[in-house]
Amino acid sequence: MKKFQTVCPYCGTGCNIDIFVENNKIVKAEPTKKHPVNDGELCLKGMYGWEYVHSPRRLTKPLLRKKNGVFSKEGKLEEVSWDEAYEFATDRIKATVKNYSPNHIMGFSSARCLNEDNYVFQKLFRVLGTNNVDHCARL
Amino acid sequence: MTNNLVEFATDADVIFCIGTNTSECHPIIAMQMLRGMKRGAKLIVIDPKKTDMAKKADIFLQIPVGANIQLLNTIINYIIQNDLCNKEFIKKHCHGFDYIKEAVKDFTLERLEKEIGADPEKVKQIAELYAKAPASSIAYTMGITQFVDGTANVMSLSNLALITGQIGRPGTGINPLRGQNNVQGACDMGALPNWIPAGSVTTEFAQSQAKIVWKTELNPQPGYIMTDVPHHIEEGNIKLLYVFGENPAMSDPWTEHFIHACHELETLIVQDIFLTETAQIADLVLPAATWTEKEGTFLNTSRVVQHLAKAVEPVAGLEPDWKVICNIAKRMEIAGFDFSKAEDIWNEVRKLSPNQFGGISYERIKKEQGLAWPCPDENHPGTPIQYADFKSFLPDGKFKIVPIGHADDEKQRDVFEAEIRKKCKIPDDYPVACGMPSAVPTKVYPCMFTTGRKVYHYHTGTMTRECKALEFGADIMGASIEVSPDIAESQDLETGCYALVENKNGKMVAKVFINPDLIEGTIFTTFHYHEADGNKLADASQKDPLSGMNPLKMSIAGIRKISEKEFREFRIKEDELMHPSKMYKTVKGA
Ligand code: SF4
Ligand code: SF4
Repeated sequence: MKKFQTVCPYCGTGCNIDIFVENNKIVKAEPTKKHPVNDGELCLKGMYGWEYVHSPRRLTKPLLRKKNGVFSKEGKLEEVSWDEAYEFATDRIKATVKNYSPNHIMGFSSARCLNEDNYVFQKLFRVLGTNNVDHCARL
Repeated sequence: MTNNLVEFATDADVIFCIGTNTSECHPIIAMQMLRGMKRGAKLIVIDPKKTDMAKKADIFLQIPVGANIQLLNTIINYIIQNDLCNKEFIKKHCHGFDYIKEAVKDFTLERLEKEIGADPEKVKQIAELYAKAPASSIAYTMGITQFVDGTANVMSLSNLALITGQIGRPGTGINPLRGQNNVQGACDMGALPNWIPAGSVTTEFAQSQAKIVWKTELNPQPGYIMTDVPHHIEEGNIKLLYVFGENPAMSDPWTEHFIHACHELETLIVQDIFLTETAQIADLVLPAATWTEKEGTFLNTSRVVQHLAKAVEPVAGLEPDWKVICNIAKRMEIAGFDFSKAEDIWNEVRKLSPNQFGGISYERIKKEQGLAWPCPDENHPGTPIQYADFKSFLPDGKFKIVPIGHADDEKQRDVFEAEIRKKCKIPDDYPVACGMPSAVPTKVYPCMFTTGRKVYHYHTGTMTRECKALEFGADIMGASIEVSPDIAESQDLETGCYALVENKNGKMVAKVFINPDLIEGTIFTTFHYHEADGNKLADASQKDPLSGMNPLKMSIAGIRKISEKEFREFRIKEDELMHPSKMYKTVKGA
């Protein structure tokens, strides 16, 4: 069993959690001892809130809305390759910026994801020429 | 937070909690507060709900939803009238004391008792305890901010701290307990329409940093705020929306409006770990690695940058969110996205915002168990306590006390602000603000309607409802509508019956639970459950003028009993709206 120190993904307290892993599966979580934030304690969410990581309902492949094999607003979500997914995303972003303006795209970033994820996301929008990025800080 | 959360345990003599259900929403902060009480600290709790912490408090004051300004102005007036101010602090470090003295003059204990029924003795005790203690700390959450006068509420709390000098020392300060694990980080990283990590997009510093580090001309025009997005989509101002790690189809107020607006987009891209309610209406869904599958950093409510190790290999070879975004940028041939690991990204943040993050390296974060910003260089110890030099961020280093009035309704905001200006002889360039209710019960909608969380679930339940120990173990009650006993009586409701709550924004159905801890005339529900989402009834037509915040904590609604048959029919219709894709129906029993 291997131990990794991480930070709780739920509330803003930021409790430190020791995650124990066996065969690439999380087997238990314990509060990091003597850590200044939570000093050996965790709430229910920190203690048991890791199971979703191994949920069989996790998305594993990109999905694109398609009808008769091509993108269509009337279609249904179908699994596609990463290549097709990236091509669709980049084509649509480029086309929107070109046909309208950079301010016609908008991004919702995430208060649940890493600093690094958020930074890169907002940088993309800024470099494209718009400040249209926000997240659910107000909610 | 201006201070570190551990100071509740170690330093605060008085802990002043307002609009926070700390033991449900921030259990470990509640634990630190209780440790403080063992040491001898006094706990004050002010809330419409008799929460667990309220039951443990030395003083609990139950106030109606949205009565914060009336109460805080009264406390401030009492402190001034009874000479409990910190005169030296005010003289040396503050502007505007004479203005506020005049502005709160009419907020007497008698008037407060008449208007909101608050016991004058208790209010007096609260004022005295807070003002006289060597170190008093204010803690608050969305019970302060989610109103049309949320910013006025926050300024009121800051006024209270300033006139008593309860700031800049251990165990003092103004401490918003941040709800989501990385909401502080998302803000600091620039996931805001007016902000990049180097500061406001309108400033010269941010402009020049963007040029140096990003090689980009930064657009000086702030972008759209989230709460305006449905409107801008309908107006054709937004054609493509890229949502990552959020579920706005459930978390936004007035969810139906948002969902309808999304159908008018040319492109909706959603990046998430599950097929959330929002992902189901997307054109493209991009999966990504999740927590414990990637390395990186979070920023907690005390402004501390903390490190997360990667513990498991991602399922199906998925990549971290940042990598997916970089892949898109690289395909578009945009330079500056060639990061090979999270640490490289963090080091760019340090370059872009050196005053705040320059000294915070991965190595130090790991070794020192987190570091609080600002931390400009490698030898700087970080800043657990802000304003320790009693200097504000304003050019003259002084703090502004902002006089705040109270109007009877939203439409009078401007009139009232002008009146305060005149009455207190405040120059035009000095800030004033005004508090007011955004909803007053009517004949059709006679109840106050408010929302909150439960300890075992989180937000829209995207993650916690996938954890069996939480969904099936801890959550015995499930989605419910809590009502105060007087509503139960007048509407003939009993615990366990079904009811429909509705107002002009939406409807929801669930089982009723009569909760004697709620203040008279109040309905309470959560927003964890897609089958009974309280945000459906929230009012998105009104906003705080500064923050853009909708009054999620304050709506009016009507309630009536329904049969089990009506209940089932409503739920099936609801499920079809929220889960058009067959791949993801309701969680329970799946
Ligand atoms: S363990 Fe509980 S209190 Fe600590 S960060 Fe997680 S959710 Fe918050
Ligand atoms: S909890 Fe919900 S609203 Fe909050 S970031 Fe996650 S998906 Fe979005």
